[in-house]
Amino acid sequence: MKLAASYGDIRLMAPDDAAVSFFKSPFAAHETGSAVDIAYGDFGSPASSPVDGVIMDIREFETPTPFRDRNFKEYLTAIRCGRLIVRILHVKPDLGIGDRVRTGEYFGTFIRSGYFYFWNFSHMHVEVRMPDDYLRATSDMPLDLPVGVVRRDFLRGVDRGSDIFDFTGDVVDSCKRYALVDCPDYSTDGHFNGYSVGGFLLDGFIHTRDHALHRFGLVGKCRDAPPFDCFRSIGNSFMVHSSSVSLGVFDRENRPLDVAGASFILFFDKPLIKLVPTGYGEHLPQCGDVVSVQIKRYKE
Amino acid sequence: MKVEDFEFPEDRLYLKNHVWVKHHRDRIMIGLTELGQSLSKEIVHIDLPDVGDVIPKDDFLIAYETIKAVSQISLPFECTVVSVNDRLWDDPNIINSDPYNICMVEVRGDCDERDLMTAEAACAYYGGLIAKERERYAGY
Repeated sequence: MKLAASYGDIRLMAPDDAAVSFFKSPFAAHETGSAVDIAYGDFGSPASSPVDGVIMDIREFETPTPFRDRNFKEYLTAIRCGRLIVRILHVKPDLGIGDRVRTGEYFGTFIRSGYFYFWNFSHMHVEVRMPDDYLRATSDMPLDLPVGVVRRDFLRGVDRGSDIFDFTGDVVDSCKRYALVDCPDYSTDGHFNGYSVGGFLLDGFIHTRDHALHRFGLVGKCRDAPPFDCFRSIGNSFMVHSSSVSLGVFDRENRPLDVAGASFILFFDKPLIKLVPTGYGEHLPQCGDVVSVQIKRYKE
Repeated sequence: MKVEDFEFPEDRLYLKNHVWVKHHRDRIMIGLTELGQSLSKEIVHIDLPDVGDVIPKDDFLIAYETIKAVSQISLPFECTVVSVNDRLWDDPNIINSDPYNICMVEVRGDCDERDLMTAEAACAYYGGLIAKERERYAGY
């Protein structure tokens, strides 16, 4: 198990093959850096507890739905850890109130609920809360991100100081929901692996068209200022208006590909870039294709 | 009138933030549409104004939270709060059971009906929004 995030002496742990994100989600707790999404496995597969503690509440509830006749179940599991509560969503718990859980041990299965987009990985949403306030969406208990100094990025064919950050790689997986790009020019701080710009790892979804999310994150310890216009900093992270950059995805012949956007998250293992189609089943590059994902900074 | 099985009664007007507006004597009743409540299930917290509050145009009048999301209601006109549905403090989820008969607040204000949608216009607008929301669930 590896450290995904912490709050005080509460350590939120994740399996070695997990990926994490603090800012890819549009939901409230992520606005303040108070939540981490820990992704691994698949929908219906086992989920491990990120902490030691005792389950003190389980809520089953319905999520938003644009269907009159379809409902989606969701589950909140509240685990008491000392004086605080760890709140987990998107896992159907297989234990009961009063049961003890241990870090890394099975406690339920991943579900897909009405909060998900079709292109999301299975993941658990984790926060640390006060015992008398663990139901509401808003939280201002920012997590500590275990992100250190990121190795300076070495971008193929692009000078430092350029306005274009280019990630070129091979498509290694492609389905109706997304395509995954393996770009060898990735960076690390020794703990997380990901794709960096100006010494900061990208964490978020950068869209090419209208989307609910209008920001993404940059994480890392760096003496330099972030390369994009940031509107908020929280610890080792910065939040960027999506409108301050443009995203383009191109094929080997430099022809633009029509995608909804690209998702960047932090991996303990080899990182991958996720390309999201304009709609479920819409065109995406196929396995073996070479693509270039370019983030261009808008100049004033 | 319906779009995708969601009702939009013709006896009131609508905003683009899932709000219905209905004139009643010298007051304006404010509530959440059936679609709005379907997209806001399991409300766990609500912030309501106080009677007498003057709410500037586009400032938030009501805010409510589910377990994961926050929503805010604002009006395109300045208003004075005349009454608040106190039942919402104890159980905000009464909105989910009967959205068109649960008034959240009543206000007075200079409401220009050109800023509001008829049921027909609302069905056209929300039909597009429903289609876009449903794209998220493709493949489920």
